[in-house]
Amino acid sequence: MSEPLRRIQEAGRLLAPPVEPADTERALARFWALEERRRQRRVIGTSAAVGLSMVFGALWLASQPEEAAAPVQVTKAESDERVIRFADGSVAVLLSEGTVLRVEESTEALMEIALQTGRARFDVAPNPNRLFRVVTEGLRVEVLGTSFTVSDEGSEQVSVHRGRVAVFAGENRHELAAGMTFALEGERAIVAPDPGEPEEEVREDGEEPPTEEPAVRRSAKKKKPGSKKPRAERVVSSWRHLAEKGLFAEAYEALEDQGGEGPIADLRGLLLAADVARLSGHPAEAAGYLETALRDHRGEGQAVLAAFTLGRIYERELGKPERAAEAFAVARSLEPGGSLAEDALAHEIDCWSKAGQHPKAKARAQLYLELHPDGRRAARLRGMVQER
Amino acid sequence: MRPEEAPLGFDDFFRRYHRLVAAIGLRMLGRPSDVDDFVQDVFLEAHRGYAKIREPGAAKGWLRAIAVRVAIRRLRRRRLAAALGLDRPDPLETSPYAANQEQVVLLQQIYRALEHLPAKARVVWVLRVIEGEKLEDIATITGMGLSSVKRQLNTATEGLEGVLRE
Repeated sequence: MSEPLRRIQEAGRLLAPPVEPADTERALARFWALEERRRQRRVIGTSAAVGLSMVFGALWLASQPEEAAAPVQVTKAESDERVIRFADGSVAVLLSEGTVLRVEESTEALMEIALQTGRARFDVAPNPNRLFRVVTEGLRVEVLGTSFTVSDEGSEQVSVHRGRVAVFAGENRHELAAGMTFALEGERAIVAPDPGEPEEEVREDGEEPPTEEPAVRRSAKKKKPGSKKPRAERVVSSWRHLAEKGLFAEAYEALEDQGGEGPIADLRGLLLAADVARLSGHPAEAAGYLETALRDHRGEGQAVLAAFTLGRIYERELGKPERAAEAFAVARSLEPGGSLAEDALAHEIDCWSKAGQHPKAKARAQLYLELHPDGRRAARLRGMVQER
Repeated sequence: MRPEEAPLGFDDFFRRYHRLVAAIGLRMLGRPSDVDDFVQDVFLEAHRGYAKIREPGAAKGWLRAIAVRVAIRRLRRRRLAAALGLDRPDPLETSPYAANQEQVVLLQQIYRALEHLPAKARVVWVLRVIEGEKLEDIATITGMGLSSVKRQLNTATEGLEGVLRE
């Protein structure tokens, strides 16, 4: 062992909280109290426990520190939030009641999500440097920028809507293209054309779905083969309803059709509309919604998310680094100590560089080193600052 | 029969290993304020499987493996909570533990840098460097393969490069 490591070991081993016999007895009493409470909860049932954690993923910029000790898994239960936005622009939509997602790993190189139960659709922002992985008990799905649904309801299933994914089942690897579906039934892997959206997403009754949004008429989705129910001719739905099912292309069409129904007034709606536009291939329109969100709702908690996402769109999808840098600067100013502040500053530096504004890039790099001397980009930025 | 091999009731098991679990919690998590809850999580999980232990001599290793698993889970929660803006860094106050000022500074640097590491890499590094465990034993404790342990250790070492160089 090297000398620095030996010194660390020596110091680290001193880290031992003073535990007196009285402390142990207090801890033991607390243990039995907790164990009793847990036993009672088991008897009552666990259904009440799942509701609160949904807010976590969906409102991932919420700032209530008292919730920090709550579970980090994301559950679709009583809450009406279904869309979970990740910092890199990827989105997960929880598609069935009781769906449980857990973020297992979130680093620059890997985002790993465990789907513990239920069904979720993932729209993954392209990023060649970061692997997006979804795991279930028996499957691993890896992508670099695509859209797919993973289901762990009875049998495990993956449907690809856009791009390509690799599915790992045990030691076997299957590559799926858009329109293909993979199912694991027992030991058997089945790869087949996607039969289409599940039947429950087709409204047979023609009634308006329970939503506040103005409804528009939509064509019926393809039905599962073999269904004996009468064929649906039309489906009435709103863009929000479609978006919350992960049907972003259809939601965008509905959003466009909505036209003169009036502007979207709430920040949550504007963020959702921006997701719909971005994930259906309309980044300029997405930027428009986010600009509106920043103009009209700058004081609200999720405005920082609007600014950060706007920066990513200008940077990656619209090729406007200067506008991107300005948006990242806004994100940083909205929550200087927030969880996105370091990333926003790092992106701002990159964007000023791309825009040829080197003095600004260098000044921000100096700021980064002052604020985050041990940050992930510190070593690289030190080089930038030292350059003439 | 050695004392640690004698069958214990759960209360005595708790009393015997409370200090050990608390120390693992502090070294893994680096936050004294998290240690009490960590201890409870570990023993609650241990209580579920305690009746199934057939060899009392293996109980300590079994409990350490649970503690490591709980630590990984808590560190992951913390990282996600940080990503969600719900976790505020609580730097380790090292002076009550360290023997001299050099150690105070060293531990502060190390635990600040550890906050940036993925949970598994952090835990593997603490087991290897601070606890002095062999790689094979780390694989057993964490339930990872040996190559995964080496990979996580490399990740951690790269992440701590700045501190280790100083």
